[in-house]
Amino acid sequence: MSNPYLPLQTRIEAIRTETDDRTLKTFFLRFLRSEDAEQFRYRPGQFAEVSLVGRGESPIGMASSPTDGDALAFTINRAGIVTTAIHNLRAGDLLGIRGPLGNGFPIERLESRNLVIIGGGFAFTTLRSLAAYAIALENRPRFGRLTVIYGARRPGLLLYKEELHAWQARDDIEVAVTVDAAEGEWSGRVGFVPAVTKEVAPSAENAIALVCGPPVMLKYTLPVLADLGFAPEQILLSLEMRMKCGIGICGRCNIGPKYVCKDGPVFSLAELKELPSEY
Amino acid sequence: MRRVILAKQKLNDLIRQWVVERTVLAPVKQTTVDFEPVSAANEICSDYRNTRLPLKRLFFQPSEALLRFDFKAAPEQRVTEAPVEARPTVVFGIRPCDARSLVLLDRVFLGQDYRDPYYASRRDATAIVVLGCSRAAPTCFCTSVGGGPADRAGADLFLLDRGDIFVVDVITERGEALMAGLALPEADAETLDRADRAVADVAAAMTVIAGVEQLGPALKAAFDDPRWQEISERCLACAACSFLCPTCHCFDVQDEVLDQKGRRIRNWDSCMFATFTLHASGHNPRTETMQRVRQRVMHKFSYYPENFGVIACVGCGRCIRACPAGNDMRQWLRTLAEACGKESR
Repeated sequence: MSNPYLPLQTRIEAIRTETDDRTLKTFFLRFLRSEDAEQFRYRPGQFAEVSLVGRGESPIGMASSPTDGDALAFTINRAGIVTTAIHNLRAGDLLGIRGPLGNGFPIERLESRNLVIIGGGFAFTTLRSLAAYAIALENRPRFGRLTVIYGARRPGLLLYKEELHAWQARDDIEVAVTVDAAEGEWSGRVGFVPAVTKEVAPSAENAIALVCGPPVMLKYTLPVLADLGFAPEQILLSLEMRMKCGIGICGRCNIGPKYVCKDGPVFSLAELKELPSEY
Repeated sequence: MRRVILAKQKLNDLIRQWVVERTVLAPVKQTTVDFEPVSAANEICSDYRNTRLPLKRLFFQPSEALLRFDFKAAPEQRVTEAPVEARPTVVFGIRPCDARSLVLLDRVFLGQDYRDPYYASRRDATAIVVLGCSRAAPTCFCTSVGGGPADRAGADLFLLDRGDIFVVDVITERGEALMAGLALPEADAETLDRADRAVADVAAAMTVIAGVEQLGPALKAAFDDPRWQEISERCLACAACSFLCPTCHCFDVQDEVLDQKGRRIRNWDSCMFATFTLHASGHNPRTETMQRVRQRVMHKFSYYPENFGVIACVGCGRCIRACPAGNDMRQWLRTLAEACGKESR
């Protein structure tokens, strides 16, 4: 078995600033060695420890889908020491990757179902990976109806604007983008994600809801889904925790007997109800 | 498994044989009794209940380099694994509780999906010679957590001290290799019977805390019981318990750089510290001492058992002796068992 603490080297191919306050940037990475690229097989919902040697590591969800090609994409929020240092990098710089880590979304469980993807703020990133995976040409027939509801506080903070725009024009996926408050030339929806979910009113029949967002969004969205008839087993969430090793050994990221890095980060609401509410 | 007699005068021959190609660690009395390298039997302390420090630091070091960085090197060589020095070692005279703790740590560091190479290479290079207990210390409670003074878990050789001889159980292949070249007589039935009964008496004389092994699921139901606050009133969150505990294994990872070189190191950490679970966003799931005390106890008596089927405490009592605030794990367990009894009524 290879050393699970050793990061594989990638080179930053491109950096795209997503938000107007520059707190979120998407980094496109390519492995230096082709063997590493070939071995890195990941599923939407998984994450990697992004490793800046000399500074540290941050666990970041995969924003790219395996169907996007060889380059990996991570949308990184500038939050602390390591992510600030990563934000100061430029195309051509090196970055280490350890992964893929975590359980990812249970694709087999999602097949033949209608998927209702609900994201708030920058928690949307791994949901983007799942949506991109599902609408890829070779995958689309495996899934039922696709509904995406995504909101940010204001238009300048929306991620993946161009891609969402393109998706809105497609008829194999329904995309509702909203903002809490309009600004500038915004002519789209205005409303909180829970309220928009209620408006869109996705059917719970043969459906799985995948929800990621800040605690306040979850607090108000989950009851809306319950009212629409979604059982706890039908709602999947992706959690975050402070992590270090990412492989379930350092003891830091547990909720009860489960480690968010290894048994998660994806948990169903039913599974979460069995765990102590200490997260 | 064969059981042989080793006369105590012969122990030195064994040590001298081992020392040729291996480091031999045994309990040595200085200001305290702790494991030190020895080269002769007379250096070994013969009168100790247990060493002050557990042996986890042999395999899971308090601070160790995982990776090395060289910023002047070519990109592919910029990050390399730090080398692990794993000299063949024999640990002689470890108590059953501490040997058992190594088996518990193995489940964490040598998992099905991930294997910690630093822990693994040292563990693979080390033979464990356990010395069963002739007396329990006042703070011992191994028999309450699935262990005992004659527990063979983790032992390559298991010794019982019978005055002028040891009864030696040769348990594993590695144990056999340690005994190679020595023709020792098989123990007779009477000697074995007396030895086994003596150590069983040691176990029988220990006070058992009722119901600890069944606490796991009940503790989950008692998650919000006010007794958690009660037992953590005096806790200072100093983490002395974690550092002296043979089974605590939490660690932190940090990068250090000086000029053009650096390393990524892992350091012992503890869930008792306030910032252990602090997110970069400022969110912290465990801000109160009570939550962290609960986490530590639940991890050992509920979460780890749920994942691995055994309690992650070996009853060595070091936490009781170490706590500057006078907390006693045995009292905590009795209080919690009470809380669980109440819940199930």
